[in-house]
Amino acid sequence: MSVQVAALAAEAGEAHIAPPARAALSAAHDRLRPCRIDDLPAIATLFQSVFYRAAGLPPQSLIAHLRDVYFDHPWHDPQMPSHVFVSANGTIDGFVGALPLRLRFKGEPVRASIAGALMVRDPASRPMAGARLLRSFMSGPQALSLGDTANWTSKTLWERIGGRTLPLASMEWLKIIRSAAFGVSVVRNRLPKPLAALLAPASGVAAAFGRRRASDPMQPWVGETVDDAAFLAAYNEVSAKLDIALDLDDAAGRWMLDQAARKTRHGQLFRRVVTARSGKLLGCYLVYARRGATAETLQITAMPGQGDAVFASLIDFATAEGCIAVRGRSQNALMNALFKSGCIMRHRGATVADTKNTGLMTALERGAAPLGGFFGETWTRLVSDEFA
Amino acid sequence: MSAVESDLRAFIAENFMYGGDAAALPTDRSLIDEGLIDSTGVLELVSFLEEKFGLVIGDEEIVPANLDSIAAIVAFVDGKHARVAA
Repeated sequence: MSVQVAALAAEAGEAHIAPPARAALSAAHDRLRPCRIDDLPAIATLFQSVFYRAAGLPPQSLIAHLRDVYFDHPWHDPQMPSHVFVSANGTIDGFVGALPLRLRFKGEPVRASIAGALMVRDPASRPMAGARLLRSFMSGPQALSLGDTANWTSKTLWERIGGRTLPLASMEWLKIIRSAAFGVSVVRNRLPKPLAALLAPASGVAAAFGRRRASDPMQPWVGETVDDAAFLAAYNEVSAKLDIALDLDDAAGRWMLDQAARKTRHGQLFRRVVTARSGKLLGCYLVYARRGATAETLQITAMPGQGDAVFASLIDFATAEGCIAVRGRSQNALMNALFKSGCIMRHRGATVADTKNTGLMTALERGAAPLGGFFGETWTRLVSDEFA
Repeated sequence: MSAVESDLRAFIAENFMYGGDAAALPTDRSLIDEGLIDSTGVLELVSFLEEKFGLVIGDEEIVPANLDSIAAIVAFVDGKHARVAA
């Protein structure tokens, strides 16, 4: 989601109806209901319109991905469905996705759900649709509701219903590796595509001149790219030491890794495990990396007290891969490393949570969980990927 | 002016008019069209009605017909109370 309530241009034929008349006309028969598989083409059309401002038929790949994440997820729970907002004329004009999540808090299982892709067509004429969709999501049977990409409107909606914003988890860190190349890339990203293409050679030159040293063989840790099985084994070993962790079984873990690896915008997904030279496990991370681009960290999970080493391994890896910068979601375990390494901090999508479990909320607020990644929806292609 | 309307006007003045004068707001004026409430304000209003008047408001009741003007809200609250009392 990104959790967004975005405006669309008024559809043809609607413009002659004044907003209040239109709202009153439709509101009498607007309704919410659980999302069905046969709704997916309409939801894909809505998604494409709201998030990409694109008209026309949505690509099949988008429809298939919506089905993957909202119906075929190994943890799919029909008691916690996504919802659609159906206008009086029968069209689907709003949606909120619900991704299932299984956590452990101090060893006890927690049934959780992540809100995603909150969207409303022409919200000015449906001013209550977003509120109703989010309220329906949060009134589900889950013990914990989470959102990790909330914009200002969505964040405010959450707070009005009783949810809380988690400030630490709402920050993004950025570590610049090759400053000249990073500067060029920032300029390129702000230019129209034809002009940006002209700067491509400059990016390469800047990256080449800014090349940093390779990995230091004297570092006290070793980072290694591993397969799914090794990554999941490491993840579960680290998680067992944390107050809040995913209850990640092998089937769900492999499925989520496979889905995350299908995302291509930020490069290849690397599964990395970090150990001490003695072989002792220190942590693991998932990162998208591509030479000449900013690496996107999906998840970092570190043994207590080992955040510095795991973070250093990540930066070392991204440097060796030729990335110009690395970024990721902030978390308590990394704060020391982030400050020491001169990272830039900034607000990105807000992370919001709601639970009646006060102990769990307190733990979330003090940053006990490595939120983002598989704790949210950024592993799905719905967040920042492109569909063809 | 009923107690419900008085409480409601005070709530609107404090939360949506930044302490402005809600007494002059016509009872049938659309709060949405006036720019006083939006999708986030609706939830604040619903929470207020539930807490202040002891209501349980269903999702299907969060519609402009019930919540878009002072008159509509007062009628909605009175109707809910009447149904509970019946």
